[in-house]
Amino acid sequence: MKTTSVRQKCIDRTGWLFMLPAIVFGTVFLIVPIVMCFLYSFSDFYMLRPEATQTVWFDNYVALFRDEIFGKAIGNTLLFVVIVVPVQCALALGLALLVNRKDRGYGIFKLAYFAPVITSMTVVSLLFQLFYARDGGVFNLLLSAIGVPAQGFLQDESQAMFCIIFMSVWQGAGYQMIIFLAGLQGVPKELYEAADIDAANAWDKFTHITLPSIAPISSFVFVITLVGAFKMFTQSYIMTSGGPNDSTLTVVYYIFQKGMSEQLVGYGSAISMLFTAAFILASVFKNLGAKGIGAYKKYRASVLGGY
Amino acid sequence: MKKILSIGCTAVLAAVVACAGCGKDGETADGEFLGLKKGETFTTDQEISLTFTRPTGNNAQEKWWTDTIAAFNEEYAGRIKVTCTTATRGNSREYEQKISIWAGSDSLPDVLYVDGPFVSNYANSGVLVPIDRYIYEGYTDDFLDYVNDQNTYNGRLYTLSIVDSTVVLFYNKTVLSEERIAVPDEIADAWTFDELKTTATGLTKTVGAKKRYGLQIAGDAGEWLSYAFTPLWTEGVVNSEGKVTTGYLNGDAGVSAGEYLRSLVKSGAVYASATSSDFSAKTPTASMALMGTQNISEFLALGEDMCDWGVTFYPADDEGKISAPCGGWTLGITKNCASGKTVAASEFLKYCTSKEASESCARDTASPPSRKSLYETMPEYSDPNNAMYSVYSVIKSQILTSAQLRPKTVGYEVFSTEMSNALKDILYSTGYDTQAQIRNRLTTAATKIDASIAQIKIY
Repeated sequence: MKTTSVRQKCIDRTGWLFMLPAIVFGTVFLIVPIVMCFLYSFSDFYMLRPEATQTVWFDNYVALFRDEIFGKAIGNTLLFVVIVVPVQCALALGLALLVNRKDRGYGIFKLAYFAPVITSMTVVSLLFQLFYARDGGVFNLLLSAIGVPAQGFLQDESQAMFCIIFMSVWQGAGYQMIIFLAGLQGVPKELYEAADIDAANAWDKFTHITLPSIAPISSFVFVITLVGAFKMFTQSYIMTSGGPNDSTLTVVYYIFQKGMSEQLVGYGSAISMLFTAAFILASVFKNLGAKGIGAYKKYRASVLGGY
Repeated sequence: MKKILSIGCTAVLAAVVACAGCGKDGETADGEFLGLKKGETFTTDQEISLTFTRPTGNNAQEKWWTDTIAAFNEEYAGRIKVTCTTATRGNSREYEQKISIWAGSDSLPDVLYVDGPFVSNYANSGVLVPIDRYIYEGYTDDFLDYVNDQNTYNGRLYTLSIVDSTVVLFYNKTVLSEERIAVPDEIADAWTFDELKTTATGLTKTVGAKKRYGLQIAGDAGEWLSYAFTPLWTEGVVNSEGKVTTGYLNGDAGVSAGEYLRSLVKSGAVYASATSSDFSAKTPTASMALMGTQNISEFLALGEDMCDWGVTFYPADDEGKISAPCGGWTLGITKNCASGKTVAASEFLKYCTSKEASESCARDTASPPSRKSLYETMPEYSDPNNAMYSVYSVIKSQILTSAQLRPKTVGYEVFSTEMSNALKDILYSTGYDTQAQIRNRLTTAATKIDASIAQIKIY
């Protein structure tokens, strides 16, 4: 009995030791900053004079709801998310289906599609800045070759965000493609063979075998793409500085502007906290939605007797 | 025993200065002088260490700083030792962001080199401490009046400048000579902005297979456009208290300025994405360039690879009045400099801004000096036989008669960023072809600036 207890203690201690790095780093780099950010959001913390910080309670939050630029940043971020998430996921799935073959030579496509992911977003942004240039930019040269007049692209308020979206989708799709590919390779071949016997066409196989089989992975890809899209910063910072006329200013860039450039840490923290709250709410809705769908499927299965 | 004695001596020295100062920034009974009088020598029982941070400069600036700090440490050996660290200036205010982080984490160096228009903000927030009680009376008399104005906040002196800068019109002598264009060599004859546009348009042509632009006006992303073109806002860009831009930035003068700049770009004479090398090349992409005097040292360093270049005055308004953008980097003491070290820090400031240091810096880094007397004594500025006189005499005339400081506001960071962004849109983006569109864009910028300044506490 005593031996078991000592052994158990040893196992417990080892377990805690394995967890220790995660606990320490999680606490120092995640929990503490979030708590500090939460506390700062109720203060007028000005980075140049931290010693004069005073508690202002909800003043920052009240000011935020009157801040038109913040509203614009939310609108821009939502536009980015609403387009990037479905397009990037769909493109990634399409690419994964294309390269999910064992034939010779397909490996090069995997590499080609994944290459943009391992290139720094800063480098990609700088390159596309040149591509989008009004004078001598690649895209305008191509357009002029087919007789289309030069476009403003990043210098046009109505085009700038879509230019960033196009680049972001191109740069990020390779990552999701690899995850989808892993999922596709886990789908049992027998299911497709059975479908062949039943004379199912490609679309039927895709909708009734492939999609349901990779549903859990799709959910994961959706969540990481969603989170990544909400955090968009580098592209706007490098390519447009949030312009023209704030048309590419995102929430995270606005946090940076207020908190770092203008040193208004209290105000920047309030934006961060609202942003975090929105994320938490989105997660709750997503989980509730997933549970609802699960319950509906269960109900449908019971009503239809398993079909 | 020796160690205890030295610690004791340091403690006594610190206590004496601290008692005289009675505060971190040396605040004491009104007006009490705490520094060394003219001719007095700095003495101490134990060497005082000072930390100093400045942005990384070009080769000439780096060499000047290295030599100057080495000379200071040698002259003050055993009394003061300055350790210098550099931080990347960046293209979008990275240096100022670092200063903010140091201030927020209470890790500022003792002495800091800051850009002139930030003095108001750093003085208001306490990052820099007043130095007027450490600098003897009359010391600043020789400095240019506008430089003293830049270095003063609420009537108190916070910084001292070594050299200054201004914006001038560089031109390619060969191209302008071929085009038979005479460049004004007297300030009274300076081109107006309209004449600049006409000349730039005339110079724009295709040479061989390549387009040669008349003018380039590009600069760094952070503040260049606001720095270079603020004088076009003839009614000012901010109110006298430095807190409100609405009604100024988006006023009638601002709309006219926006219209002019857009028409300049639309004329096709401006090379939008130029760098200084597009002007300096022997086969240039641009024949003229509106640039800061800080580019001169780079041009001189190019030697044989540099085009045959000259300098003329910043353009005048329609009435012939020039308001040339001026103001440069300046040295101040931070709140983190312990009271026992402030006298030593002020000695370092005086050493770097002495007449000798200012002259050597002006010469080595090709920057206009901050002291009036040097414009009379330095051969580059006073001797017509000097090789650089044709360039420096233009700068001298401009600085002594037409200097205009960048706006003094505690919100300079957001002001310059937002104004530059607005100008970038008006100049290069689509949808700013009418007065109303230009005014709307300037109003958006002014609203953002005012909102941000309102959030900064005035202490």
